[in-house]
Amino acid sequence: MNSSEPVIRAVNLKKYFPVRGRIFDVIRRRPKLYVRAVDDITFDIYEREIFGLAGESGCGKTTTGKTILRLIEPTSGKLFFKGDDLLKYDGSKLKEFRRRAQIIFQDPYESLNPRMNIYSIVEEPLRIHKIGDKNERLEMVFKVLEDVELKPPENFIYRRPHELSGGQRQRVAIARAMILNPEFIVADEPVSMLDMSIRAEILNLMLKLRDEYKLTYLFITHDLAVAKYICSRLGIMYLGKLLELGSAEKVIDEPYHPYTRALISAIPTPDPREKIGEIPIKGEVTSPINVPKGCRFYPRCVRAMDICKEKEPKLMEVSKGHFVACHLYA
Amino acid sequence: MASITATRIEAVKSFLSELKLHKTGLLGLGVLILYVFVAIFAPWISPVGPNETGLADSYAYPSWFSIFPGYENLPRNIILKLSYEDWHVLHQSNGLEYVEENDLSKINVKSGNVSTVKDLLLEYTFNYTFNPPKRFSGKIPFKVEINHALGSYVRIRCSIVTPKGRVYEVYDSLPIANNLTRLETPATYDARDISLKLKLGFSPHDYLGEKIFNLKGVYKLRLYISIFSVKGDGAVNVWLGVNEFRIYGMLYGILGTDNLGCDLFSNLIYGTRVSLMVGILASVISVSIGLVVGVISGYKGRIVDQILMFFTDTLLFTPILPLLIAISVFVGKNLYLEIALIALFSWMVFARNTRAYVMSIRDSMFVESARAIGAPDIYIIFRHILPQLTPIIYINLVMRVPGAILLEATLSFLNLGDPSVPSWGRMLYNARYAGAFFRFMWWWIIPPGLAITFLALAFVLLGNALDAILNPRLQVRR
Repeated sequence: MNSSEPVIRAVNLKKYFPVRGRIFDVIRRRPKLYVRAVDDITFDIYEREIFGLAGESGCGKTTTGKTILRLIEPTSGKLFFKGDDLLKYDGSKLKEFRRRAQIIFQDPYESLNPRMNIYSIVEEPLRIHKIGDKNERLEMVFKVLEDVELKPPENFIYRRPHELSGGQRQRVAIARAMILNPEFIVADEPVSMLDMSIRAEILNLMLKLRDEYKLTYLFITHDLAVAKYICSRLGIMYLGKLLELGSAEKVIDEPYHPYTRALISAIPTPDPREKIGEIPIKGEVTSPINVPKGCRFYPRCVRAMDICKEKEPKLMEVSKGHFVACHLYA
Repeated sequence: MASITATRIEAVKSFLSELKLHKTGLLGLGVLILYVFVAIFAPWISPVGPNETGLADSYAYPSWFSIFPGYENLPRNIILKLSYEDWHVLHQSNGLEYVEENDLSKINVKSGNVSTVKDLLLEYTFNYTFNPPKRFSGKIPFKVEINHALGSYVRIRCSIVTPKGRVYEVYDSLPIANNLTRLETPATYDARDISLKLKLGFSPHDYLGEKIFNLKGVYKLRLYISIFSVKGDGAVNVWLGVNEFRIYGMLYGILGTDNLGCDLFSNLIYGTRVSLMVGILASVISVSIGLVVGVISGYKGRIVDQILMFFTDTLLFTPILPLLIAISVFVGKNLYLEIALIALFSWMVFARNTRAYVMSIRDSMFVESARAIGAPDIYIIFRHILPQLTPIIYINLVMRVPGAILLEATLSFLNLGDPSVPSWGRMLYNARYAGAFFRFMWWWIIPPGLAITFLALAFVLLGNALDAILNPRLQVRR
């Protein structure tokens, strides 16, 4: 927002996964099919902001996150990390990038090796990047464990993941990401596997760490309440496309796109007596293999027009810093 | 880090206490320990080596057979070692000296004015009370020194006198007219010698032992030394070593003997070493190959996987036995080659299993997490993948042993094994080759068979227990 050079700039990013063809299709010479997990999206993430990506399951949020970290190679498009072409990184430069950019996974039950103790798990990044000697590492591990509020650290270092609660595990996963002092973190639904009571703690911890470590987050979530709480800017994804992009408050409070509206109306309220109103959406998510020709959301949209069937809408600025891809606002 | 060692000790302790709950696994471990004990202490358990031939007659019965009726009078091993004081001097000519000298009996004849023949007749009496044996043999070590004019000679003859007084001359040196030493490689006679049979007037198909020792009673062994010295100065000396006479028994040891008179019990005991070595070495090698191929193939995927799995499948569907027969014919028979070949043809299934495991671990979140940190592949394999594989490595190490042992036994049984190495498979091959099957010599056939079975069973029981302990989720199925 305020800085000139974005931490991450994704331009026309695409990731298609080939669908394994049946032998019958190969013989009939049918065109090869692809899952269009990420289909031509463009966005910037600026320094010290928390950029949210929200959408239904399977819309390509996680693929986007992993592609940005080059855990998945994009099919086409460009990626820049602080102005450098990220796709040209290899060898030691890529390793250096891996130190500067980290990921926190959704499931803290699976992202920690069950055979290692907490000390080895948190120390591992230091060992991989050959940072410090034994005593320095111990000190760093203790400090980072204190930072993620696993106190006192000596109570935790010899335990194994299965001896910890979900919240504690996610703290360990965060500590593991933090220990290399990164600049950019992809948080892939970090709280969706946790209890409601623990979510707020983890989110507050992440906010605290952003200030302490001067971090930039890409925060992937399917929970708009969480997104509104933590994100500064928010992108809404549907079938690999960005449909709406703007500051988190505006996107949630004044949504433009019919899909965003549908998502917001589906948020359950904490009051159990209140009924959920009718959700302005129809049908099921279309398969990402056979995407509609025009607007992706057209088959499910309650306000669909004829043009939606034919022409794909472009992402356009409707108010300052607020972009929408919909023919209604063209 | 002290507490990490402590947790390791703790883990071993808890493993042992869990093993205690698996009675069959404990049994397998016990049997295995017994086998290892036998393998280590083989020379003490069996004092005779497995390749010593002629310990008793061929196809001798186990010695405990003598308690059964009909087997009490089977000929026993009789070995007579006769030195100076054992002989009874029956006749000694004048002028002939017979004295003891350095463990040898010295016979010397000084020269005289006339040419004379001087004789020494030694006799040993023994009682023979068993059934007729098939075979007997003797050794006559001697040394002749003639410091005399040409024409002097020494002649040594040996004969057996039956209780009825018949004399069979079993050895005749014929006149020896030059210096001759036969102490290290003594003169011998053997009941199996066809020319001896013919000389004594028997058919080549007769067993001399049965013909000569067909009575129970007092037999005499006679040694007749005659020295002819011509007129003139000089001396003729003859030294006799320890004379040996033996009757080959039909009862021997714990399991009798084979067709060459080797101790079968010794073969059984020493076979433990070979089987354990083949089983464990082949299993370690095959698991190592399988592990390397499986991990590389599962982790790398794509074209590497395709190539490696092509080789694996090719080997998997190769007919192993004909190939091994061809190799052993063209390359030769060697125990270590055999182990290598067994290992080379038994890693494929394990490689395929490992590949599948590695593929699922490779896609797990904690591996992806390590990759996101920038961990190199080698690091991920050693820190994250191999530790997950340890249970299946242990189980496979144990479970592959019986297969290797059985394959070794099969190869040996088909005479493709190393012929100089005593193994259970070779015992069975020998049994078949020597006709033990239709002689119904079950004490030759059953013990190696049972030994193979129990060793394989021990490993299988242990493997099952390991499986149940290391893969607790599978217990539900049992």
